[in-house]
Parts: sequence; structure tokens; C-alpha cells
Amino acid sequence: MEPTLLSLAADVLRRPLEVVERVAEQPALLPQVLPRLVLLALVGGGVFGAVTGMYRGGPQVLYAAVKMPLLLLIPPMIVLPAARALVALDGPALSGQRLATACLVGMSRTAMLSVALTPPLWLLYRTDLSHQSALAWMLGSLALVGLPGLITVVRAMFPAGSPRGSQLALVALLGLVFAQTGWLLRPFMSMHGTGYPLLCAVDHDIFSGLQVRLLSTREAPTDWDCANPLVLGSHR
Amino acid sequence: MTGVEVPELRVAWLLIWFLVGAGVALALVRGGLPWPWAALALVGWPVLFPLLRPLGGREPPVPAGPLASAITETFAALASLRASPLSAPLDCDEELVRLQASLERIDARLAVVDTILADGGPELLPLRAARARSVAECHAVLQGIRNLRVQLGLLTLAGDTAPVRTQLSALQARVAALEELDQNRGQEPLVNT
Repeated sequence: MEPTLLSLAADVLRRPLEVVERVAEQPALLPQVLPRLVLLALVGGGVFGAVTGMYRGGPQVLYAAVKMPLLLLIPPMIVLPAARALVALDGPALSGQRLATACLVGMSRTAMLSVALTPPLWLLYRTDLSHQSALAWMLGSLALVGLPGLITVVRAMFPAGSPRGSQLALVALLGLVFAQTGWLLRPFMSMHGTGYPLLCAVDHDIFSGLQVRLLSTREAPTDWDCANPLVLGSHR
Repeated sequence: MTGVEVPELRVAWLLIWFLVGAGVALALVRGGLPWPWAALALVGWPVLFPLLRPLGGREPPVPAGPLASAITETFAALASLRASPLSAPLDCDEELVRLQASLERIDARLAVVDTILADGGPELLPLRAARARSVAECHAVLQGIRNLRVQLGLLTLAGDTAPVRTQLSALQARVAALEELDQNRGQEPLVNT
């Protein structure tokens, strides 16, 4: 039976691994399932992004709504080849179909879980919250909903009894690529008094960037501003 | 890399991403996916790549061989008998489906062999003999399936499932051996040169 968007969403939240197995057993379901999973990730991530963008308001709501789903979708796409190699170390290689399904189920699960966090986050952003605190809350929320998604991806890729080392390596790899992609796509929330950049130029990596900005004791508002930002196709 | 080049690079990457996505979306639409779903490839084309194969590369239909009609009729007759409300229920649908699929695969191979044999020539004699053996074995299996009616009758009267199970197992083993034999033959040269 062709899955509807709602039934698929319920299955992804309740029984994510069953969805992966069902699609693996019935490849004819792929054309129905994969696009719907992409849509769920886009919608869920978009809602969460829009709420984080509300901290600043204006065009930032739209920018963050566009960027947040990309943050969910791009890292698994980058990690897919490496994940395939890691899985092949411990057993038979996985098909591209199963890899794509596993990644999309994990990411759409994260996206839908993130929607559940939007009401408290939105209320929090209505308060007089500092930029650093707002960012920390957003990162914390992402980590909270990202973990179930990551676990789903890893469990769907590795059969039961696989060595823990390869699984941890995949989690670490996905986590690193997520962090760096988030850094490249930043800011999800631009600061008050600055512009509305769509894309920032590459400066530093996630670790050195956060060390400078989050751990710094001095207030350095321009530090969060983008270097050489791209604003809807033109440069500020 | 200067500060001016970086934004141009970003724009170029975005363009490439959406162009590739548009190409994948077009291929998906041509493959039969409704365009609203295919349009999602603009954003997430790498994860929709697996759809290109099942949509675009549909497997060709299995060619019907010389036994196609006999296989269809035999299994249809058995199915109609089992569908009768007075017939005793027996959970063997899966076995019968597998049996029919195996016979159809063997029949498809026979169709290929027939194409080769159509050319004629004395060098094809071993192939002709092998084909005759396979056809005879298939006919014997089909006869065994027709005979299942007797066991089904016994089941209806006495409720004894053992004869049906035994007959089915024997037929499955026979077809499996035939398939294996055909595959082994396929690894060897069909014609001695």
C-alpha cells in the first residue's frame, strides 16, 4: 500500500528501522518513500529554522528556514561514501538505496523532532535573551534532536552485532561534518544591528571559531558578523 | 583565494547544485515520478539518485517460452480449485508462487535456447538434447502439480495435510535441481566447438 505523508511521518517517529527494512525488502516503495522523506526533512527543518530566525526577525526568518533543512540534508550526503566504506569493513557492502533510505529516515526524524522543540524555543526567543545564549539554546536543541537521528542512521546501516568501533567512527564523522556544515551555513541568527547575510565566506573552522566567539569573555558583537557575506546574490 | 573570489565560488556552487538537481528531477519525471515529488531533487538530489535506476531502468519483461501457457493454465486450475469454499484451507501460497516463478525462469531460458536453435546446424545437437531433457522435466513437474488435486481432495475429505506437503516438497526439490542444473550449464559452453 502506498504510504501517505502522515503515515510515513508516524512510522519514521515510532518505528524508523522498520521503515528502512520495509523499503529494503520492497524496492518498489522507493519512489513513494524517498521523496516524502525529503519533504518531511525540508518541512521540519524549515519550521525549526524559521523559529530560530525569529530571534532576529525580518529576512532572517526566511534565510534560516532555507538553511536549516540544508544543514540536515547536506552532511549525510557528504558522509555517504565514507559510511559505505565503513560498513563494508565489517560485512557485506550496503546498496546505495539502503544508504539513502537510512540517511533520509534519520534526518527526517531529526527534522520532525525539532518541530516539537519549536514552541519552547520560540517563547524563549521572545525574552530578552543575549545572542550567545540564544545560540547556545539553539545548538543544545539541535544536539538533543540530532542524537536520535544519528542513532537511527547508524543502527540502520550496521547490522546487529557489528563492532562498536565502526559505529562510533560513523557517529563521529557525521557529527564533525554536521558541525562544520553548520559553521559554514551560519548565522542562523544574525545579531541585531548587523545585516542579513545569506551565506558567509569560509573563515576558521567550527572549533577555532567557537573558541574565539563563545569562550571569549569580552563582548565582541562584530565577531559574529559574517566576513564577506552574500546577501541574496549581491555582496554587502 | 581573495575576498572577491569567494562569493563567486559560492554562487557557482549553488548554480551547479541546482543545475544537477534540475537534471535529476527531469530524469525522475521522465521515469514516471510525479513532478511535485521530482522537484524535491533540486534540493536533495544526491539522496534521490537511487530512484533513477528503478524508475529509468525497468527490467525487461521475462520472455514467454514454449511452456508459458502450460504453466499459466496448470497453476490457474489449481488456484481455482483451492479458491472453492468447500476446499480445505492450506497455507501453501508462498510455496506455489515460488514454484511458478522458478518454472517461469526455466521457461524464459528455454526461449533463449530456442532462439539459438532456430539457426540450425549439427553443432547444436548437444544443446538440443539438453533442451529436450529440461522440457521433459518441466512437463513432469507440471504433471505433479496437476496431481496435487488428488492430495487436495484427500485433504478436503480427511483433513490430512501431510500428502500435500510431501508432494509440494518433492516438486520444489525437483524444480530447484532443474534450475541449478540450468545455471551450471550456463557456466559451461553450450556448444562444443
